[in-house]
Amino acid sequence: MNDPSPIRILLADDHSVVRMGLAALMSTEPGFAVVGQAADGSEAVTQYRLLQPDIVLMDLLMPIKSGVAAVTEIHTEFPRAKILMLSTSDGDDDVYRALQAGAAGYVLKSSPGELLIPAIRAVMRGEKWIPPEVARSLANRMLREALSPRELQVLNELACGGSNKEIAVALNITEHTVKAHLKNILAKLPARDRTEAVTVALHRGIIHL
Amino acid sequence: MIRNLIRSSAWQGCRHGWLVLCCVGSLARADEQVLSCARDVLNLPAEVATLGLPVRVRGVVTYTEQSWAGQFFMQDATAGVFVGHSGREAPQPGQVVDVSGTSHPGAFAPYIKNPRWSVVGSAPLPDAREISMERFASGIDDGQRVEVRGRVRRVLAEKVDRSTLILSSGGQRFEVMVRRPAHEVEVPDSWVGALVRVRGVLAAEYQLHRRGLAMVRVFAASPDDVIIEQPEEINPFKCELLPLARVGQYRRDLAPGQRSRVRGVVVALLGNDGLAIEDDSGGLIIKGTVPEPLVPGDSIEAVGFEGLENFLPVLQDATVTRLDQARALPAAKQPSLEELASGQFHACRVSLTAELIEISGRPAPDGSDHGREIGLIVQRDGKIFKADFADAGAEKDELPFAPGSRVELTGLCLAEANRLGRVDSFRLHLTGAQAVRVIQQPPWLSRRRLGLALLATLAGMTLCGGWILAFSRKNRRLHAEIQERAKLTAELEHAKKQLSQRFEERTAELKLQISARKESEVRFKAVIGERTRLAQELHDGLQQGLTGVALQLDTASRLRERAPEQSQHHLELARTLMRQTHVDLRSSVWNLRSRSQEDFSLVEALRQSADRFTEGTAWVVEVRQTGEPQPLSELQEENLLRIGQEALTNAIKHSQCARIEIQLEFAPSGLALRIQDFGIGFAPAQVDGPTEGHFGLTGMAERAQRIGGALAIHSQPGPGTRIEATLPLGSNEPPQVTPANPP
Repeated sequence: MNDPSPIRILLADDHSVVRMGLAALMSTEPGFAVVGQAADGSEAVTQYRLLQPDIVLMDLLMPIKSGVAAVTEIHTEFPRAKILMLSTSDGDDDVYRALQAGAAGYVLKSSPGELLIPAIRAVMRGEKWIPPEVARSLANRMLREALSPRELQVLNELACGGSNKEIAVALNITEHTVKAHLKNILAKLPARDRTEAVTVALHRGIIHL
Repeated sequence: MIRNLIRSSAWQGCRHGWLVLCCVGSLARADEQVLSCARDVLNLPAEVATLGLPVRVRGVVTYTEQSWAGQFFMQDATAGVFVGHSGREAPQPGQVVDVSGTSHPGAFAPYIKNPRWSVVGSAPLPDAREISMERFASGIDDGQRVEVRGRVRRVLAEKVDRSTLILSSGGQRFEVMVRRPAHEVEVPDSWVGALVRVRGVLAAEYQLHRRGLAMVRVFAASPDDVIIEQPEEINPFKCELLPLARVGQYRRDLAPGQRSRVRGVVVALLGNDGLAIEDDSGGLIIKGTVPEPLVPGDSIEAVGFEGLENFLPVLQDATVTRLDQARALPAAKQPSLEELASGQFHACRVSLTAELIEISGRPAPDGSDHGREIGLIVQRDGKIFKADFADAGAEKDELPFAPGSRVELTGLCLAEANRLGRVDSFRLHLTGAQAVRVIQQPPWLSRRRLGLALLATLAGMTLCGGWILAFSRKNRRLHAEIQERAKLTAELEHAKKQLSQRFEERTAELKLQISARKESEVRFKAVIGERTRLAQELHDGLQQGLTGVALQLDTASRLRERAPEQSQHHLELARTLMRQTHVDLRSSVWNLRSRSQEDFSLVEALRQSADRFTEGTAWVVEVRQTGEPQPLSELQEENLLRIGQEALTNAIKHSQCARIEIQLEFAPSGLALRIQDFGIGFAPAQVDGPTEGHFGLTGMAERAQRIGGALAIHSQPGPGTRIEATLPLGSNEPPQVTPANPP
């Protein structure tokens, strides 16, 4: 409050209750100022351009443009942008993709709000902030074999409930090939059947609904 | 440095040839790294020796000879080593030479290649190391001066400047080359039979391509290197004659290593296999030096060493002298088969009669242009044995006898021992075709002819039988065919019936299978759709709600000391949010249950919700659906349902009127869900604060946005409130999940 130059914060989350809560929490910390709010990824990018805040708290899953896409866009335009990801998910793929896109840290929404403030300060100092449970799931990810782009497509179609035949038609491949991909997917995730495959993939953030 | 490296045991035991090769390769390039003793050369692994490392050694020449074209053995304080061609005459044994050259793996042991040498003096030959026969035979001492003991078995003077001694020791035979001044002293025959000590250079003969040992020889530099330890005790040429049968028998006075003297008549000449002689007691095979061509019938005397070959006695390394020119051969003995197979007549001339079974011929093994070896198989008393002879005729020439004949064979009996060393059979060695006398020609009806005749008869009978059979069959078939045809027709009819029945069964089965598969597909889709929706629902409702509550609580707790009033406000917010979340959750659970009904449809679910909310009240809710219904995803259905429920709740709570209309309108471009009440209405600004109503409105808007739609609120105090959710239904983006039962 007495700080001549407070940390200017942009909040991006599609749930207003979360935005509201975040804004309230930020307001209690001296030297923090919430300068803008965005309800989707696209808005976040626009707001960033307009406000050029010191830091963005960005939800991972947002409509219109996902958090990862927004991070990518902001980071391409403003390579020094500091972005802290927020999510309810500790799916490793999400974290991985966000960090790949240029996010400086990751905070789980389930973690106490108190943790958010040190996280923001750390990112402002130029450090990375990755909570241990997220780091663990990242390490797990390194150990697993990644799905190929084609396998990801098949998995996505599968999550939409497509039968082998439908997936084959959608991806313009033979049903036999779909089966082969499916076999690989089950082996890599690993999962026992297609239902479990979708569940595991969702949990790990490999695919989104 | 390199010497130390090479001497280290790690080097000798090194199996990693490449590694060694690499490091020595790099070391060897340094000029001053020179192998300076014979042992270093011998220690080089073959891969390293190949590199041609520089060698410079000084040592005494231990052996060479004229025919070696300048190559020689030398030895220094560490070891002896072979020195290869230098293009000049070799230095003489006893001369001290400086040799420089390069290493080479050699055909057995490493040696010095491309040598340049100079004589720098002379020295006595190095001491010879006495070694065991075992060590001797291993070849490990290749190139070293060694001392071995043995008994001289033969003396051969093959070259002008050296003699060859055949020594035997502990059953091993080996050659010792003794260098001597040309045409001077010959090694005397009197050495034969003597026990000697020989000093010389051990040299391995090798199998070139295997780089392996073939045999070991000793090269003695002069006759002085052969030291007679014990001459033959008794002059064998003067000792008593030994009956042939006594050779190899137990004799109390037998002196090991002492030669024996025998006499007899030559009964067969066996070429390289020696000759056979016979006396009154029996026969014996003699091997050794024959001074002049002998013929059967010659009487000879032989002096040699008694030995065993193939478990049978033989006089080895014998010196043969002829006593008398050929006379008549002793009469061939005619022992029984048992006697022949017992070995008593080994090396004796015998004759026997038998039936000739088979004749085989093959070219003579010695490679002569004409001539062949004939093998006979004969039979007598049911026993089969072999006879053979060398024949001058060509391979295809007819022999004057044929299988099936009864013949008398006269020749040398050679007993044959089995693996245990016991004599159990024999063969006859004949001098030629003339040793076979035909007693009886083969009968006209030979086995072969008999066989052929039998075969022809059989073939004829088969043909005949076949013809008769075919004929009678044909007849019978005509009879049978008529009956058969009738039977077949009946069977065909039956089969057709069965087939069509089976076909129907299978079709039914397949139908069942297909429908089962379809059902499981549908079920899978339903499960996935359900889970998807549920996960999303939990994410958007419960999780975000709880996050909001937690953040508000965090804020309240941070402000508790500083600003108690504000803290209270945030606590209040948290409580409100909590309630809202609770309501949300309840709706979720209710919707989940309504989903489990078989014929779920959006409009029906809205109707049921309205019934639930207004049960027991005077409220009237009208639910309508217009337009052509289009399939929606579960996500879309759920969110629209929740918007409807929220709007309905708000209307019931706040509108203060008794009638509500809900309209679900489908158009090709999209749908609209309208909830209209006819109550007091409100100004949207009124609900700007963080109240339950506010959360409700925001929640609805977010839901609409989430499924790609929009929410509009038309409210004024007076005409009531209309909440309208619109959702475009583009044909280019088909709904992801098809509802199981579209309305």
